[in-house]
Amino acid sequence: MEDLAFACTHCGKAFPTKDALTAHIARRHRRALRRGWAAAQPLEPHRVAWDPVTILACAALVAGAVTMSLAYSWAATHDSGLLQYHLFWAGEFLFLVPAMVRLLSRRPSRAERLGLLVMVGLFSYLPKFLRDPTGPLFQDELIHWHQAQVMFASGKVFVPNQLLGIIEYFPGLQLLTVQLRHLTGLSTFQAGSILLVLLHVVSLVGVFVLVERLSRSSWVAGIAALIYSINPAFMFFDAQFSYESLSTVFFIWVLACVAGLQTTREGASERDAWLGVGLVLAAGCIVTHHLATYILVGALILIACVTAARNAAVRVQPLQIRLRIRRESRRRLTVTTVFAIMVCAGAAAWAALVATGTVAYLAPSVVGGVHQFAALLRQEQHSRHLFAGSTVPTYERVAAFATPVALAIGALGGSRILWRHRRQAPPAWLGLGLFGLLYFPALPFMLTVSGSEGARRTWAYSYLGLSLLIAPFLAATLAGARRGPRRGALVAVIVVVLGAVLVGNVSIQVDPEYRFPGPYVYGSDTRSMNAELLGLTTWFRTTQGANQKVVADRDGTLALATFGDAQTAAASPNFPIWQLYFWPGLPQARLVDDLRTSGYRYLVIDRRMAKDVPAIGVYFVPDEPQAAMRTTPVPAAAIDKFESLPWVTEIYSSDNLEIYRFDFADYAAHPATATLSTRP
Amino acid sequence: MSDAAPASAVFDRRRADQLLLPAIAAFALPACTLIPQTYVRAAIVFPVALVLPGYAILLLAFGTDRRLDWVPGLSLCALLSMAFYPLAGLLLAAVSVAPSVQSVVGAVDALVLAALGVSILRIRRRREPARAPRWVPASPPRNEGEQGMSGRRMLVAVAVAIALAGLGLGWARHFEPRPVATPYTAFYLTGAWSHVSAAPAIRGGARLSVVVGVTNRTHRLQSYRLTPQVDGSLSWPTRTVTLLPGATWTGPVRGPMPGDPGLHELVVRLTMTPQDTPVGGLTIWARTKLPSR
Repeated sequence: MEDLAFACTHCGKAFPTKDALTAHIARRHRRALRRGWAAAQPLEPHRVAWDPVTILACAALVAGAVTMSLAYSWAATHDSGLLQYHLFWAGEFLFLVPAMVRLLSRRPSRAERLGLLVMVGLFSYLPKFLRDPTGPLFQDELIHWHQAQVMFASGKVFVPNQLLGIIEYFPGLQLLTVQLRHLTGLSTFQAGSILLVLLHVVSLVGVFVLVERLSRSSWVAGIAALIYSINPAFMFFDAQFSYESLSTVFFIWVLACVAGLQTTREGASERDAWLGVGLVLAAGCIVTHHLATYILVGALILIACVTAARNAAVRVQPLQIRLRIRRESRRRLTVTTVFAIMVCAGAAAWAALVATGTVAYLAPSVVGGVHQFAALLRQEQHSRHLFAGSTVPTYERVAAFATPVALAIGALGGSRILWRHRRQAPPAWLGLGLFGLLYFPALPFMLTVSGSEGARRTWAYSYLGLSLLIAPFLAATLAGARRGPRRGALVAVIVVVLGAVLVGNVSIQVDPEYRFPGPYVYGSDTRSMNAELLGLTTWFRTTQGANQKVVADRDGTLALATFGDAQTAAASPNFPIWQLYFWPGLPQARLVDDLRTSGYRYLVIDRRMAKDVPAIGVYFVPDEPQAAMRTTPVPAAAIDKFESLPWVTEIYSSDNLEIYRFDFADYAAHPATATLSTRP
Repeated sequence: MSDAAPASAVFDRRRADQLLLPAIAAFALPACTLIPQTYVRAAIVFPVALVLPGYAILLLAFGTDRRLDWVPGLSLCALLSMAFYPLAGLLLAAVSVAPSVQSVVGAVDALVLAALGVSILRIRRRREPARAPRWVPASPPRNEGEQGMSGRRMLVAVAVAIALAGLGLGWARHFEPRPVATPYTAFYLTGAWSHVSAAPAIRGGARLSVVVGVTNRTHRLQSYRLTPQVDGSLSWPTRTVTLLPGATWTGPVRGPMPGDPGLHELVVRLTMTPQDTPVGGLTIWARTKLPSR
């Protein structure tokens, strides 16, 4: 790489020597220097061969990985206790603490920061990998994995999905995996896992590039990427084989392209290049995920508005400079607006022509969340209890509640800095800073049943803006501290706070059953998927064949639809299959008619339904009666009744699971010896 | 084309890596997909597949005179490739071409050839002599971090750390205790009985034979007792089977049906001996008719 000149991190002007730069900063940016504006002071050029903290971080990567593996092994082989949590965090911080210390320092070179971020990206994928290295496990992951399997087998692009209908119209991730499967010969899980590892690294590099372009500081960029890596979704949710994991990275890099086209000094050709690259990535995002696309559109509109507002507020003398700045600003505004309009148009065209059901899919979560929040304010309903019945350690709960406070302080400090430099900072930075503040209005929705999931899913995006706010605040705070023990203490405090934020974020985002293996937990998605259920699924697929229509609870539906290639019933108020399970008597005739006419032939019963309340709060779907409010399981008589109904034949039975076959022709038949009082 | 640069400018040695390497990779890709060993094929094809389309797009966008610095550049290449595959798949689907090895390779090669063609045209249109590509950092120049490690040393450190972490993980996974899968027993109808969809009709008083199967997943040697009973009162002979871990037994349970006509319930209960711990049961319905005279 060619040797780069000394540049002013404030205005971007380049100088041939460090002295010239120092003189320029002292002359033009005296105020910024006094306030500790990030990286406004040059450093003595002096390279070290091997930095001890970085080498420590590299060694700690090995130790952290082994400790983490121990945590998962312990969780899988011990039924109770909290040791797996302690080992997990010990392994996590073994690597993260030296990495954080080095990234918070101004000394590392750009390459060193990037290397550390690559290691942070890889390391943060480790927990999800260790959770189950052999196959897909999480609910969304199973659905997307199965969709990719079906697409590969059928050769079709738009394949209906019974578990999550909307993914039919967003085939980006599956298409990518299928194409790579064709090229490499790997399985869906193997190809997907390699993609996810890469995506984890690429996302952090993307944050680095975005912030480096805006702040002109690899120090601030490294800190911002570090803050992004501790976002609630990064460790588990964005590490699963799901469309968000890909679209979030597209989202980050599209914004990096916007930063590129706003801050380039290479002229129109490079601006056009960033525009073209950004459009390809935005197109990838549009066909991959709805929420990421719409949030991206919102962020781009916000950036365009801020750019326009900045243009209107140019007040520089003399006239010649003003005209030059206006010309530059106008070009920047034009290209940003054109980019935003093109992405908006693409997203709208996809929603109108292909993914026509997207609004209907997203609306209930948004509207339901808003209604429930309004009801909470009016004190018409109780709020959702965070950590209700959870087994996580106390320190995780404390950290979860303290996290928003720490982030609010950081965001406030960052906002102050950005406000002071609103005339110099690129408009994209201001726009994304505003966008990051949306994290806070989403927080109260965590107290609602309908809105909590949606709120959590927005954090992967709003955290990008938050990291853009908090990183310069931390950099300025560190720059303002004198060298020596005071700065060391400050670094220690920041590391502790960032560590606490990571603990709180993981705790609030991921249930213990998703995080760790362990004993069976009914209705937990991950720990419900045990050998017994998979054995039933294998038997069903082998003996009864594929594409059989089955009625089952949530766990059974997930297993049979994904591993058993069965067509499972989607419970809804219009198709209330829960009547079969919740009532000791017979279901309504209308439901039986619907089952008969729709061709449903099998019923799967989990006898633990009568013993346990599902861990995630619902037996089927959130629309079912008493969803998330149930404190007692369904009556045993409701499950037992099938043993004496003449229109069902029990064809499979294991310790807890049963499969019945419907014979609706005998629905009205009377057995020779009546065993059930409730007869049709 | 009198204004065009000479051919030597296009094939300048300094540009060779920019134009020739992707061309070679694009031509080699179809052959690499024929490698029969999956992991060897994946080790060769995966990196190429994740870099080549993205590189071609960057070549189209930025031209041959500029390159992104390598970590962000490589990341952007990979992500652009990840965007290219679904978009190419959708375009191919629009013209009724299903995803297959041939269609994917064709799409990648077409993109690379288009990028190379455009690049060569761009170079030839320019009259200025060929020059070495200029590195464009992902960000403008900066004046910090001059005290850190060099990129090459950091690359070595990261590569060694990742390799050691992989070895450490493998070692830990090898020696750590493994969880035991949930023990259970599966009990089911087999053969034609597993497909029974309606109560079979049988002559009253006749013997009925139902074929069932038991699979032992309790991780230990286990004995089971099968106890058939009709209408809760008429007991058939019991059967006892002993199964090794993972073993399966299939066989019939037989007995007479009641003589009276009607719908009768046959329940076959499975218990683990010697404690008689219930495992489960199968319920089958059979319709008896009056015996023919």
